[in-house]
Amino acid sequence: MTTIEQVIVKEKRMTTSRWLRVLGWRHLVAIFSISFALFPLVWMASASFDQLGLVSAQKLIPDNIGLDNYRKIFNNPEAPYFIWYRNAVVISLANALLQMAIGACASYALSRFRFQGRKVTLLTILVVQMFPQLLSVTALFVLLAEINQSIPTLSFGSPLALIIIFAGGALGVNAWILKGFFDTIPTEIDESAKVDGASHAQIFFKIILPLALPALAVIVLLSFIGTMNEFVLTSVIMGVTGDPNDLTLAVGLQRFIDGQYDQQWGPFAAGALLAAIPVMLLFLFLQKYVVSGLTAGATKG
Amino acid sequence: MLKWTHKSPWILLKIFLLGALNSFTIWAVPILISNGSYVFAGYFIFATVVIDYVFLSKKRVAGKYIIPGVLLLIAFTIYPALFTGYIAFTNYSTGHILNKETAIEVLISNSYQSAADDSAYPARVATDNLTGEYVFIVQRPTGEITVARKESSATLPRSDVTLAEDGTIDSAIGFKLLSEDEIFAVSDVLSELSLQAGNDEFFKLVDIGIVERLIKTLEYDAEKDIITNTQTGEIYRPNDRGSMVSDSGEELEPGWQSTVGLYNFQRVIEDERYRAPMVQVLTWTFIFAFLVVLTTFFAGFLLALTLNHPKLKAKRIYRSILIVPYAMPGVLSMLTWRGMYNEDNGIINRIIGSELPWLSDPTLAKAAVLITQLWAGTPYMFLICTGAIQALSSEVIEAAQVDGASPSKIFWKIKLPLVLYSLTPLLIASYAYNFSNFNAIFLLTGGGPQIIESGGIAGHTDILISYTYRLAFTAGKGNDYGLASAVSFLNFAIIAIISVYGFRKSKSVENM
Amino acid sequence: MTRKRLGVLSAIATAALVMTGLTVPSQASTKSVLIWTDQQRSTGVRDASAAWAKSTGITVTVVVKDFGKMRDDLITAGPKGLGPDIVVGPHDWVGQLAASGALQPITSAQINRAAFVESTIKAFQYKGTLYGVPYNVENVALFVNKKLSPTAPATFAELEATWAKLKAAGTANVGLEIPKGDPYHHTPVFTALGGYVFGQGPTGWRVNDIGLYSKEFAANASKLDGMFASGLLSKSSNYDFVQWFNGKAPFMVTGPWNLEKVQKSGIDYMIAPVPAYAGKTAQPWIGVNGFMLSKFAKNKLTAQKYLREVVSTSDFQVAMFKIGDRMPAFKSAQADPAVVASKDFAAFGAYGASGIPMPNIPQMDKVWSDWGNAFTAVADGKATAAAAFKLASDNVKKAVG
Repeated sequence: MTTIEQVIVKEKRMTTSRWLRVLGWRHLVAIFSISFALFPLVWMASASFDQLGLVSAQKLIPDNIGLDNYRKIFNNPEAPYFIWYRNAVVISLANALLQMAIGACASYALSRFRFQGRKVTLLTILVVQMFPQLLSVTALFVLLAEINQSIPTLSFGSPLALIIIFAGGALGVNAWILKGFFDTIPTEIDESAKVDGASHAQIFFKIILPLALPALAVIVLLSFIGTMNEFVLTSVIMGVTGDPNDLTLAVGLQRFIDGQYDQQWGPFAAGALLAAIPVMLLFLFLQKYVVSGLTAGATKG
Repeated sequence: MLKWTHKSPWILLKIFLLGALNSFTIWAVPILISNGSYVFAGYFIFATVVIDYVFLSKKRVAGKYIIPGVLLLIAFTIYPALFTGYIAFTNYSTGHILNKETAIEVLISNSYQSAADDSAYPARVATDNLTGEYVFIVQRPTGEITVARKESSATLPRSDVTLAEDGTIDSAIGFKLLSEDEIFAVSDVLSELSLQAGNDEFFKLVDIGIVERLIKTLEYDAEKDIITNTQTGEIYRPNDRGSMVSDSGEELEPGWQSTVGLYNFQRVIEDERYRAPMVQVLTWTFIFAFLVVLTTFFAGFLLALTLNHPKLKAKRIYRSILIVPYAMPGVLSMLTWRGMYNEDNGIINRIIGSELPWLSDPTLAKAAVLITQLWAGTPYMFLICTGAIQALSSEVIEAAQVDGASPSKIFWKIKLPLVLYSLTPLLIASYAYNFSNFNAIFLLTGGGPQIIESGGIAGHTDILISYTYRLAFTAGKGNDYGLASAVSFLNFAIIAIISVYGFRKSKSVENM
Repeated sequence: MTRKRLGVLSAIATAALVMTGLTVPSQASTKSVLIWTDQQRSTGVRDASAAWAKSTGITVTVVVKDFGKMRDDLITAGPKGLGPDIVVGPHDWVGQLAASGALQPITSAQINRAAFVESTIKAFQYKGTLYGVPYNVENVALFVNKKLSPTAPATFAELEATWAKLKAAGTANVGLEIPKGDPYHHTPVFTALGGYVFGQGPTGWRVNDIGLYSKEFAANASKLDGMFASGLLSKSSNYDFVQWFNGKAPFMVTGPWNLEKVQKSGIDYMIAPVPAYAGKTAQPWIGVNGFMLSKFAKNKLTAQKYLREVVSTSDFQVAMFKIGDRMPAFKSAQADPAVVASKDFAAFGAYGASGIPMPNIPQMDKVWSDWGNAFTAVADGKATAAAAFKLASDNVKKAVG
């Protein structure tokens, strides 16, 4: 533990002025930011209770208040909300963990080993994900259509295919975030472990990864959110089969608003707001890792 | 002899995974090859060999960590990018989706037209007992019975058939009549089968027991590669854009996919509709991307610092709430913001008591886009910075504090540079992302308000990608993927060059 | 060495394991029909096909697709063997689908064309060939809030007078609510002022005759400016029709898709034609929905059977009317007591009779954005209608040419 934290912990009670100086303004900033962050959500929430689903009515309490929109998403065999929910959470979690694993391994190599082609790899990773994604879905469709002829189980309608394709994006910005973080871990720590006879795997699993927990937690969360909201690719892979039970939340909910003129924003808003819950829960859970970072690890290591 | 050690489970796991991969490849490659997917088969083999080599070798330590990710990157990120690049050199678009062979098949098959208004006849599908070929045995209204074959048609003597009670054919000498279920079993063949009806006319199956007398209006000559209209005598020849065209310029639909060289790029560069507003659009694209990164980064960083205090008990709740905007689907958030900006009944104007035309005034619309992105993008930066701050060495900061450095000095001279240092590549990536942030513009303002002075095609908030995609997807006959790919490619070229330049400039490359 | 040998052994062992899990599923039987629809129609199509499926033993599989992606998916997925046999959609898809070779023509022996309302068959024809079996018709009309305007306006002048009165009394914020910048909903007003999109020739749409800035419209353009200036039309309207639903607008232009919402809102309403402007009829676009047969259908024969024996029947079209709230395309279905009894549909249908089928040619896709921009520019007061529509007309001419 570093000293500053201990000093603060030792003080039993703060004076009001000190509380204001140290913590009060932080609460103020936080509350202000939260108001800004939640402000649009208030209107989404109000639209979700509006039987007419008028997002732009901008009335805090809608004229036609009711639970119709929630009923529409909860009891509708064509739109099995809870199955979508489960699919989305399972796929997103699996993807987040896989992305983290692949990203952490690659970043370890990029941060700790000097091998041929390292700089090229780093630059490629940076540059290649700048390619506008909107069209790559055409390419992936063609690719999957070809795989579908030979290995249908690994193609349309397969969550496994979806996760594998997502994993192709693991070496992207995430790898850079992790590598940046690994770089800040002093190399002396693993040098000395090496002298003690630790293998590269031991250094990776026992030293680097525990120290990098905050960054890993961030990556998991980012990937999780990204997958939860991913629409284009998921709809191509999971939407082709036409089984509503295959869909995720982002793809399923879209169906409420993809009519030509009759877009049902009410149920969409209801469904989307509820979809934020797992994200918040996951982050609440991950936060103990976010703060348990370098300092905590360093005393052990 | 093998000895069980603490490492053994890991070795077993490794062998199992490698074995699974190898056997999968051994199983999959022949199937892929038999279906003609040579590229994929090749890639499977390549990937498997590389992985085997790296993981069975004692030396390639770095490879063990990075190769799986790289192989996936090549397959699912680089390959699609290259494919898009390839599409940019083709005419892939509405009307040019099929390959030439299929397109011509479709042209010919769609050219059958009813010979008369009432040309549906009762008929049975049968197989010839001698040759085994499919025939239609058709009852013409005249009572004549015709056997239609692939190459010829003939009249069947009335005495050769027996009729059922409902007047349909029950049996025919020399033929085996197919039952309904037998027809369904081969319906994919039968539904496309056109057999000779005599007089250059054909029979096609409409339903079980019904055929239609048709004339074929187009004829394809494979040797000369021309299509002739049998009714008008018009001749259609292939042009170099993947279509059959007559001398008078009439084009047959569908055309086919073909490579068109630099045609798509040429269109982007030479077309006045792209060129006229280009300077204005590019300028705004740069400003937009820069301001979004700047504002979201500072907001996120300051928030992260503010909430990163050990005694701040509520911080976990605060943080969890702060990321919610990032978890909202873009379509919904943007629609909500659009409602909030509404000039008459939007909440923003109601709160500030104004009647600002948020989305129709050029300056205000730009501000609106930036405010919305500040809302949507800050959580991301906040998360990243929260992670990065944990990496700040507290010794350095303590030392500065002991030296009597002021908090603002610590922020500007120590914390910010340290975080910036580790996040530079990320900020560049974020810049590139926003450079092509189609949804941020498209869903909120649709690019508008339009720039009337330059012809009204681009809008004041249009960024390069939103404006060029709109043209590509409303040009030609519908979706022009070839043109859109060319546009993507140019967009990518610009941002990649800037990024790599900025990256080298920032010296991160030397330290990486 | 031991390590390598182990690797090989495990490879063989797992090969068997893996292969059992990855067997190719058998092909679907051809005694089935696969139909793509959007979510809204899916239950209706499924239910209305059930009896036929039972009696023929043919399986009808209805797959829900995103409406916005269905057309492009059929074009790209069809030739790869991943498409349906039949797709349910609006007639203005036909041009792009047929031009891409995605549709199978419907020949005259397949359905009895005379049993359908003629205009619905015409709507599904592209370059003289029929590419779909129509089942219902939809168009926008004027929704009147009876509390604000007890009667439907017979002329546009009357509509404007009602608005002037309500505005003076402060009881309404907008006169005629139409989503800003949306050309589809503005079409009745636009045609009443003398504008059109493509001219019509004997063989179909004349692509070179663009009427966005026709002579007649040019003469009337200032009237459109006037409508925005007086507040009759609003620059802040959108698809939510907030003012109308809040009782602050006497009229709105929308289609049957909003009926459910209107009924839920409890507003006392009636449906009427958008009134003529100085004698010139306000023509809406007519959208016809129908069943199209994929060129790459795996079960073409059963699909053709389905189109003949299910879609082309009065029972089916009446059943679809009951869930879809649109006027059937089948003549005898239009006379069905259930259809006749619905006064909302009578009103929609009566007005629809004066409409024009939306052009189904692929070039139509090039018109929407420039045309919409013109409406937006006028609404925002950025340009006069004359300038904005001249610009749009020029741009469309360039894009089409």
